[in-house]
Amino acid sequence: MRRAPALALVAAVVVVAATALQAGAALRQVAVGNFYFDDDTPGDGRVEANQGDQLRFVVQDGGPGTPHTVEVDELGIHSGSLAAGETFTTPPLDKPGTFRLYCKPHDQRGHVATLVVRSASTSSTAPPTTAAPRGTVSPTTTTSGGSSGSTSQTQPGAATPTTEASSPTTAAPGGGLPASTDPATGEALAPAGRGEATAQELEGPAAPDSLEAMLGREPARPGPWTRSVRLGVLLLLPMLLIAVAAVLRSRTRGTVRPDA
Amino acid sequence: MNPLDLPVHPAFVHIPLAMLGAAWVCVLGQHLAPERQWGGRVRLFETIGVAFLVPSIVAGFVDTRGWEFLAERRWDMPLIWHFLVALAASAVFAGHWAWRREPLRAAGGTGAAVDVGLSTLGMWLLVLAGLIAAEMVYAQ
Repeated sequence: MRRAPALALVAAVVVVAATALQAGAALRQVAVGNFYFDDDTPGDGRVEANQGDQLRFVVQDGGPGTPHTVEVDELGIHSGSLAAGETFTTPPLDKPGTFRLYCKPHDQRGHVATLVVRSASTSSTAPPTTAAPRGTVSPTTTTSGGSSGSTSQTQPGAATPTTEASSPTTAAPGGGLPASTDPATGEALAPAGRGEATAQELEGPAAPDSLEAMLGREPARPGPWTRSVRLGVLLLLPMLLIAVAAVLRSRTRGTVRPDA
Repeated sequence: MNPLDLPVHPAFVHIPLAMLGAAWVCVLGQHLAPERQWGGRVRLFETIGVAFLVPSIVAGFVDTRGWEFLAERRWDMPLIWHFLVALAASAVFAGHWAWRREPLRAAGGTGAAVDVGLSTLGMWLLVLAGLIAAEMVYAQ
């Protein structure tokens, strides 16, 4: 009967190891806008992650004239143009270090941050934080398999769901949302690339002293930009009328030869 | 590349907008209320406008940090449409400017139709490009 305690111990070790592996890699949300990259410690100009984490950038506005991008040259991360409401998920960050994270069109306007990827050996000592990034849903901890408060991380268009729809949602150390990881390989299953943000992710309180807060407006949201095309088509009618009138008048009265 | 660290396209683009808009008005004026001065004004405004299209386009590429947006071609985003419509407007006005180098072309029935038609098409495309740009910058 000595086997029973030993088996229990082994089982406990397996459970703890699996839990540690799950918590080891997280999907961290980073809000992107004019001109910030905000993780769970907004305003510090830093985005922090642990080795193996993935970053999910949620674009909250369309950029001032030109859309935002996410660039980390040293890690080969280049998102391409991102519209408001789009997301970009990086592959797992395997290389520890400090990197330059920037938006290519707005680099010179200060849309830059420092990406710190802590190595796996030091990441366990990082202080956990719980604050939510600006305009994103707070990571929540649930004790049961209920869906209340959990954040869907499903990437539209992805072949497989990326997260735990029914499993408990547990905030990983550092405030990141837990990623779906393969316990056998430790590889993240959240597909890298573009996706769509949920309405919840785009909502958020207006920054203090901002124009939005003063006017009581909600922060910028993606709008149907094609309304400018509809307005342009409407303008075509009066312009055509004037043009036709000019041509008809020219035919009846004759045009004074220009520069004659 | 941009020592001022500010968007430079808006600083240039209003000059051709104003000049080519004025040229369109003068083209209409030439046909609606024939006077000799209109032709010279069209020439002046259109020459300045077409000339300033070049730095405006270059400034646009400076602001977008290159032409990556053309390589990507995100048709669901307004930037590429702004570029294409503005490019079409530039081509139409440049064509109209070249066509009017022969002054007598604008006179007469067909000449008047081509004169007004090209100018109005260019102006409409310019307005459309401006509306798309305004929505990109202001309307969120």
